[in-house]
Amino acid sequence: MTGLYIHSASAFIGKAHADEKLLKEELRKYTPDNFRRVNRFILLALIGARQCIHDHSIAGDTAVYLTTEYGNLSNTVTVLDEIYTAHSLPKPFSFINTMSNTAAFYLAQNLGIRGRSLTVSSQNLSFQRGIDLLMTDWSACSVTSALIGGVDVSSLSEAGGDDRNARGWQMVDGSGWFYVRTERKGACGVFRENRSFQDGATCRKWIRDRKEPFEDLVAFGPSIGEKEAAEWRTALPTTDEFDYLGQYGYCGSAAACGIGMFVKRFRGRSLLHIDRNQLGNYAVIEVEVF
Amino acid sequence: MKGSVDQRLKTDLKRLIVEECDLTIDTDEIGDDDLLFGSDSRLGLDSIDALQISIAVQNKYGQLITDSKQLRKVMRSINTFADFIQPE
Repeated sequence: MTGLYIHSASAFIGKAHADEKLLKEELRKYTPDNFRRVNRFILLALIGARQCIHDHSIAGDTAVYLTTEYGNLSNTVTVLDEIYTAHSLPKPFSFINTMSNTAAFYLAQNLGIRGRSLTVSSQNLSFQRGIDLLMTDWSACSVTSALIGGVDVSSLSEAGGDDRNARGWQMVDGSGWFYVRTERKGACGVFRENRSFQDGATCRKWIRDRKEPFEDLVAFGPSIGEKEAAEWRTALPTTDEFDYLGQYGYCGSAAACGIGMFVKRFRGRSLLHIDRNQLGNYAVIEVEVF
Repeated sequence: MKGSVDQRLKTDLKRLIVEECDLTIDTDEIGDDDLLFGSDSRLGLDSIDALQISIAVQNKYGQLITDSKQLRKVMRSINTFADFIQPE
């Protein structure tokens, strides 16, 4: 048990390439503040986190852990083009926003919180690594409440003409967030497990040998291919599956969005989320919704 | 023609400022002599805005402002800005 009690969760799924004005309108539902100099990535972070803490008052020392697969990718490409292709100076707003932690800064500023803030990216398992870091701070008692989320803008580089990628998933903008505290009172769920494994065999052995066998829903992350998912289905004690990628679409932070959607939709259920990176390391998150 | 009497240039500059600084006002709301920067200014632009505008001006009009004192003087208002772009 991680002791990460979920007090609120959100999952904002946006249409790829939607007008940023629409995102600003969406954000105005949650805060009257006017945001200048922000880009799509920052807007998504603000919308998701604001949706998450909408009905909650949060502690002033709440920390922010923003996880992302690609960060401000479009901004970074623009800035690199300006420097290396056009041989001109990059525009300051674009340059500043290439730093992914700018989004965490805007978030902390808007919410009036002064806890630590960091941005984490780790190929294919960014959200899981963010939880790792949060648990480290948790165990050192340096953080007692936190907002942790995954944010990514849709990337259409691998998409076909209908905004779907090679596996048929709709490419979307995604921002999934969780407000977590050490207290169980008032919580709507808990991250029961967050474990990393060297390889799939070790991961399967751990699941098989658990004292409390898992018998509820399972979800496979984006890096688990169809063939491997089929193998997992035969190895796991449950075949009930939450196919969030098929239902809501794919972005670099699909795991955070999918788990956020699960917490919102499935009261009284548990989810075992399995994913891997390209090196073959596995990560398992188990979430229980009260 | 001096920039401060060229209405088209001044409208273009106002549009450039609104777009580059991501402002949510109409260009008509910016007076030709309104202060653009500082706490006394309704727009409340700051140094990062100034840098953003100066690069946009360099790209559009080929005018480079390198000195910060000159920058403050040039960008005091739309009229001073227009005279810098188009001195005569």
